[in-house]
Amino acid sequence: MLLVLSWLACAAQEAPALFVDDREALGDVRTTCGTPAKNYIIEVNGGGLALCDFNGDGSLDLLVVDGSTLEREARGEPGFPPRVFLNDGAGHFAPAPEGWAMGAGRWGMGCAVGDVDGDGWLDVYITHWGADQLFTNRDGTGFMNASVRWIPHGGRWGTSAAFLDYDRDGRLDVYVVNYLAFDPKTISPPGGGCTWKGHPVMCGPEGLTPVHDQLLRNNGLMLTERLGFADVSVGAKVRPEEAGFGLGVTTLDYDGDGDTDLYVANDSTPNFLWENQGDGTFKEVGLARGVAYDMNGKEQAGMGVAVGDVNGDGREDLFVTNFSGESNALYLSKGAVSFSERSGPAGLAGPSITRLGWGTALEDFDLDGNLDTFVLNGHVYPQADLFGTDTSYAQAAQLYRGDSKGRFAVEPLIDGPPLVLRASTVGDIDGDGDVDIVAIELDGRVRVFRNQLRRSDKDGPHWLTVRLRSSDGNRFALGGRVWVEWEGGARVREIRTSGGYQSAVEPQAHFGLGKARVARRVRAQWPSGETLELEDVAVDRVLTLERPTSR
Amino acid sequence: MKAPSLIALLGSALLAFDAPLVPSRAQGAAPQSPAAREVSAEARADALRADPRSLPRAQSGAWAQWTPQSPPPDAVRASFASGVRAYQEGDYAAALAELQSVLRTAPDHPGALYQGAAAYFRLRRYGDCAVLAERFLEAAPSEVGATQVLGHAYYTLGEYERALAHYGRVVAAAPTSVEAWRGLGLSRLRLGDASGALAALDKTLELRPQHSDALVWRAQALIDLERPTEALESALRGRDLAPFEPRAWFVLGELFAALERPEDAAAARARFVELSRIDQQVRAQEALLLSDPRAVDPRVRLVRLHTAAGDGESARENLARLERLLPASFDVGLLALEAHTALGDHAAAEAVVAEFEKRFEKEPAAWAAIEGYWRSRGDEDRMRRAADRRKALGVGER
Repeated sequence: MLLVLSWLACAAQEAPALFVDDREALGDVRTTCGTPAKNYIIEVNGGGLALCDFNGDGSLDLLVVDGSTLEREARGEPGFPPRVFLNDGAGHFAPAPEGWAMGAGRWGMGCAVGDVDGDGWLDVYITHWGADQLFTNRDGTGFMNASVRWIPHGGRWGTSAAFLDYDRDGRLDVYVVNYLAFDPKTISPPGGGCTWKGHPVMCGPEGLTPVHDQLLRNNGLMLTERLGFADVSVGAKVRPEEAGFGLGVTTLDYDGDGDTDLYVANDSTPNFLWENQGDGTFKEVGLARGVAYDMNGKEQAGMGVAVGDVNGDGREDLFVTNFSGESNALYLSKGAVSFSERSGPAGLAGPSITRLGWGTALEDFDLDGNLDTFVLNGHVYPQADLFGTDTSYAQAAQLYRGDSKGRFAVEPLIDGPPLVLRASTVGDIDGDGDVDIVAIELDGRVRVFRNQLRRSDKDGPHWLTVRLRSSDGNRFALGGRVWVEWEGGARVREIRTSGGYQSAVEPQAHFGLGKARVARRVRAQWPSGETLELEDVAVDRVLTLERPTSR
Repeated sequence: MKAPSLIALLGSALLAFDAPLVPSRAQGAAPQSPAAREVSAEARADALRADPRSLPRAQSGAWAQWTPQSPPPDAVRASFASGVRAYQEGDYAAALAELQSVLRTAPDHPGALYQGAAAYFRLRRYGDCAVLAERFLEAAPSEVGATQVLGHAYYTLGEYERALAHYGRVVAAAPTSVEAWRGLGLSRLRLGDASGALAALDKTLELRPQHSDALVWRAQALIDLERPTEALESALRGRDLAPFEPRAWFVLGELFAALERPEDAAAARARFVELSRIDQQVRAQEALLLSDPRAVDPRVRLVRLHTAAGDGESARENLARLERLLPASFDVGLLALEAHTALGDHAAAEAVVAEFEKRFEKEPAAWAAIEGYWRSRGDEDRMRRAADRRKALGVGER
């Protein structure tokens, strides 16, 4: 009897994690970001990822943004090019044929995905330390480097980026988050006076100069010399008094006024909430709305951002991953007025304090009808393994399972040793209804974390994915909204491709429905205002809704 | 007679999580005891590198007879006293070097464990702090009422449930432990128990009515309980007691907005942003001082930052540290004159002027500074006299 109890106790302790590191799904794909010594800040942030259906076959393909090394840079060589891997529909990725090859830039960082030319195919914006790149999608057959026709010349250090139609002209604009002015010739290496917890470390971001973000308005390609994107940051008033060290970004209509606002996670500087004024300009309201600082009134080192209606009140909330010694922040929406930082009561604060978080998302990973989140962790300083830091370089990734009251319980995301992880992207890569994760391991493999949830169409748990489409303009309806009600729950999700950290996702809204075999009501609102309402919708499928012709 | 507890001997170990410790008065290390011994840079570095988990353990019950009044064993008395003095002087690495030496010779000596835990806390090494504080509790379980630092360490590491439980043990043993009640309140608040937090913070304020930080956290609890009018009253009291703390202004901004007082909200937020920027720089300088408490440049920057914020008390505190580091320094005097003038503390500024006239009368730069001071005061007579003295020393118009 004692043995049985002991075995049961062990079995309970050793319940496998919900996700498994599926080494077969992608093979040995690696990225580079400087050297493992991490002597300079440019070497610590890692690359970017996107899971999107680039070739239109219905399954999510993978884009990996790769970096470079300072040695290559010194030799005048470009960085490593971004790469596309096509999905066979079962969640196995293979290198895409030649037509998908993407030219290298200086040092790739992150990416944004959206249909910039309104042709119905997802295009890609790549941020760099150096000139950014735009690749247009040739009808699902490959990418074309269209940077010179679309992007103003620039050489900043871009990190994350987000597509949005801020002026509602039907063309997707892009917000590019910039980090800091980096010049290896002028920045001290470790031992040059920068310390952390008594250890010499690479310098930055404190002490370096933050760089303003950019809003690029899409004017479309005309038969003129004019570029597709124009930098309208100043005219649109996206110019705070002081720039932030920007790392993460997401779009959301936080005040529910129908236009798209922007939230930017800044490293070591207050976060920005850019409220769209509806007249082509923005106003920074982060402090006034309670999302710039933590509950102590301290700026944090924001990295990744996730958005989702955590407590099912019909308003989307914000989740930000932060530095070690700080807690990750959950900003619960209190309506159009403000947010309240509630990471502690939600159970998201304590387990995050000794970790440094990056990639994240708010999704219903166990399909129980409540949003969950995960955080990829890993320190920026290899010196974190030295004495007295209360943290470590490699850190366990965490899954936080949400309940119906908006509280989360933490567990390991995967089994196995801790890793130094960075960017992530999410999506159902194998069509089994649950949401999987792809992650970048710094100086390591791109890892596919496959969701092992056991479900069946008969017994559930059930799910529904909704895609909004338009025949023209903003074809993937970025900025649209989907409300789903089912027995036992209701939730709203906005259509976006931004979020996480230096990453992008498929423009769609995924809902876990628990035991509900039918969605009682699905209401969709396109960014142009048209709505569509359906009742008793069959579940366990991807539902694609075309924009109705009249409101 | 019942022996006084460690709390009585050591004082309230931590006024606030980030506030300076009250000087400890452990046996053999009374304030009148001699200065800490000089600890070499190498020894300090070794002490920082040492893992407290590797310190030798005593046999169970080895310190059963120990009380806070017990003198340290003869073999470690000097090291212990020096360690405590180094701690009091803010040289935590030197303190650890001495205290680790004590613990190697007299494993698990409770006094050294306790003071070592406090030193690790000050160095922001919360895990190491917890290691020593837990060992202290094992060695001297009857002194649980003095171990609020362990609750602080758990709290800072994000272990709120554990912090809550430990603070509960501390206040049960020492119901007048102000910081344990405050920690209890903060832990409850972090865990979403606003009512419980309010009760604990009220207790904190009952014990110390002028506890500005507790007042502001009380306001936060009242916000969570949707009692904004009471929250405003509490936050305003906290702000008045500590007007240079950004957090009070942060909370006030939220409260004024909730109470539909947009102009007050905007003003509070503007002040918050101003103080917050300074606070960020202050924290950076203080971090530098942790590893090198005798560094002059960070201390000078702190004087200037606190002066810019209008925080005369903090500016003077850092000036005093500088004066101890560099006694009779002309540069420190200049800095003091600059700070006192900017803070409008004319009595203190004139004291510096008098000191300059007495001690640096052959120094043209001193007369230039005095001239500048009287100019800023609009006292043309004294300005002219200082200018004449400067010129008499052979230095022309500035």
